[in-house]
Amino acid sequence: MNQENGYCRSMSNEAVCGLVGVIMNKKKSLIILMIASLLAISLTVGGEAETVKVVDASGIYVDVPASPERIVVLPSTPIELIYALGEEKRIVGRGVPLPAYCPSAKDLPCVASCSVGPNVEAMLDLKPDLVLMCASNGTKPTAALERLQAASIPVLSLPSSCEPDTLLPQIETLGLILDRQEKANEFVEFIEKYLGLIEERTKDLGPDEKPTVYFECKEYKTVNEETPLQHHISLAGGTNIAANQSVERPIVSSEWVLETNPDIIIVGVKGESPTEEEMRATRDEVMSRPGLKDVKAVRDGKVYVISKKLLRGIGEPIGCLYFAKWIHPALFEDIDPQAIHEEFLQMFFGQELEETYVY
Amino acid sequence: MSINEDEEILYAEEVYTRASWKKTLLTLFLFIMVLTLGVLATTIGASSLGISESLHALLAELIPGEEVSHFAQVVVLQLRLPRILMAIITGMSLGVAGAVMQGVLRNPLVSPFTLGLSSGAACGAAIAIVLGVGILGTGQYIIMINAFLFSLLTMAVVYGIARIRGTSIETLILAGVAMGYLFSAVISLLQYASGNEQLREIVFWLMGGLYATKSESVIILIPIVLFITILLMRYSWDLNAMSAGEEVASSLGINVSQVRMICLFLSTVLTASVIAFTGIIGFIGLVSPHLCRLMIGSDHRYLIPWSGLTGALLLLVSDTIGRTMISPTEIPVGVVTSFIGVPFFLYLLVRRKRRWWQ
Repeated sequence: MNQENGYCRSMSNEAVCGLVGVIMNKKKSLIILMIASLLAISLTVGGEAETVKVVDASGIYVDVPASPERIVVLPSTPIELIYALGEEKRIVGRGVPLPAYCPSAKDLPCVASCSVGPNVEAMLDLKPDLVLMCASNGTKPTAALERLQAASIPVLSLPSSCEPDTLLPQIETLGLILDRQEKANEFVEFIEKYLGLIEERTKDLGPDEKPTVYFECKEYKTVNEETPLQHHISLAGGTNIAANQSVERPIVSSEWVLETNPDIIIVGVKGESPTEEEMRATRDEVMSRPGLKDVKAVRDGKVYVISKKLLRGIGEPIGCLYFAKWIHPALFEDIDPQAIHEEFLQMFFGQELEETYVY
Repeated sequence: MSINEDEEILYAEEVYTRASWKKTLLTLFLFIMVLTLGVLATTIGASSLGISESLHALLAELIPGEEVSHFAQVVVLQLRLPRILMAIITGMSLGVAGAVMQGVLRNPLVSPFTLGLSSGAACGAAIAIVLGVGILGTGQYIIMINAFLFSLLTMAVVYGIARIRGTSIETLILAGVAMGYLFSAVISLLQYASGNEQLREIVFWLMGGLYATKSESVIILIPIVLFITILLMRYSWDLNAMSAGEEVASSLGINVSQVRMICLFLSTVLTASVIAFTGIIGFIGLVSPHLCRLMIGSDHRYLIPWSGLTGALLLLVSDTIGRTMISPTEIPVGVVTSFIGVPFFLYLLVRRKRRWWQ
């Protein structure tokens, strides 16, 4: 499934999640509060099977079984969220890509692939009592959804988690289904605390105080304002130089980047688990390009490399912290994104920070 | 009677000389046009650099003592110029290779595409991308080398198969088409099996483009392309004779299968070297020789350079439009090439006066 990759993707679901993001952004806390309270009220205890009413990706209320024991989870972010809630034993099948923070998920049977979409037969074979998928884009997931419903398997389609704003309602939904609201709230609070902190410190900056940022995901391939990365950059108090381009992920002219003279360059590094050496090589390559050598960001050494794991899924809030620290080092002097990342991993995954995520 | 005949011969000679002079002049004109457009292209771009400033930066390299801003120098000499040169040599290589391949195989549908070379190169690149090469720098070279070797390999296989059946042209073309399908299947399989990021990488490679041109690649390519083009032009007479049929060519003392092998090998190296750097750029190799046949006929002495220059012109114009039309966003060059080239080609097809293909 491709919907988990909130970074540099050529597929077409950004429009949907961009829209959700915009709506969410404005009334974020209000909506979250609303959903949470509605969810809480709607927990119904039926005669035979318990169900909970939750909101799916399209904003419709659906009944899903409460405390399902065998869940097939296709997108990788919900897998991470379920791990964070400590309920990973309920997952019986997964999709692709592999969730970044759950090494043990590798052993789960994989029932979907990037190009073919979900394999309904393989899913039925796992006898799930709930399937979580992301049906907001593409005909393949939609077709699978219909067939699963025909086989009377409960399906919940979740929004693609491109931004923290769609991430947080997701964990609340999952907390409710799995009856782990407390842990879910803890998670939401943790993330909101830091996102709130960034917003608080950057919201009063005037346009002149926002450094220009050039984000690159492949040689001269950047992002415009309709992509989730725009959210990172503007939340962190920066100005995306390519915000107004008409193509979502355009290749831009090198001389234009040179003339625009961005203050900061952030590069999304290739590969799932890049090593420090690869990150250094990426940074060196960018800094030595003839068209970028004389740019302000390169002269000031403000070229940063970031792993994809911090640009999508549950790593995103941490990515935002790094963005903020890089764009406004003075404002976030007291913030150590790495320490927060460590704490985050410790708290929800019981893991140590081992890999390199930024350079 | 005999005086009359002599006169006729003299007259024919005169007509021939005049016609070949005309064609030589036209070739020169086309060459100058490519140069002019090349210079013109260095003055347009996404940055606000003015025309005179750009020309200044270009001249400052030739005439010492001229003063230009550092910015103009970087933009014109390091960003625009390598790319423009790359467009010219890539277009030229594809045009020349297409003309030679069509001539050697006496078939209007032949191009690096139909002979499976592009698919071979793409397959090589896709293998390098998917099978675990991800480090920048060295990784990119592995993709290039793989692409290059795979197109050579394709030609070797295609030629080898045809050789078994006594080098018949039809077998060769069909073997090429079949190999092309096989490689497409491998690419599809790799795409099917690969992750998101690799998938994008492959798609990118399949689209081709000149935006990532480095001056080093231009420096590597220029001697290769010029050398092979000149070598191929030396076979013009042989190709002319072969267009009258294999028997005729043999009776004129041409070792047909040897010429065919050498020409195919050289044009394959030519195509493979540029494709390895740019990714797949289709259409030019097929259409540029036809455009030229429609314009100046099928004498290979002129057709080969013309086709090369037309290819260069077509790619240069397309790339310049692609990078400036909605700048700073770039349009993939393959899209522009087809949008410009196809209507022009169709127009010539409909309006054509001569039977341009034999």
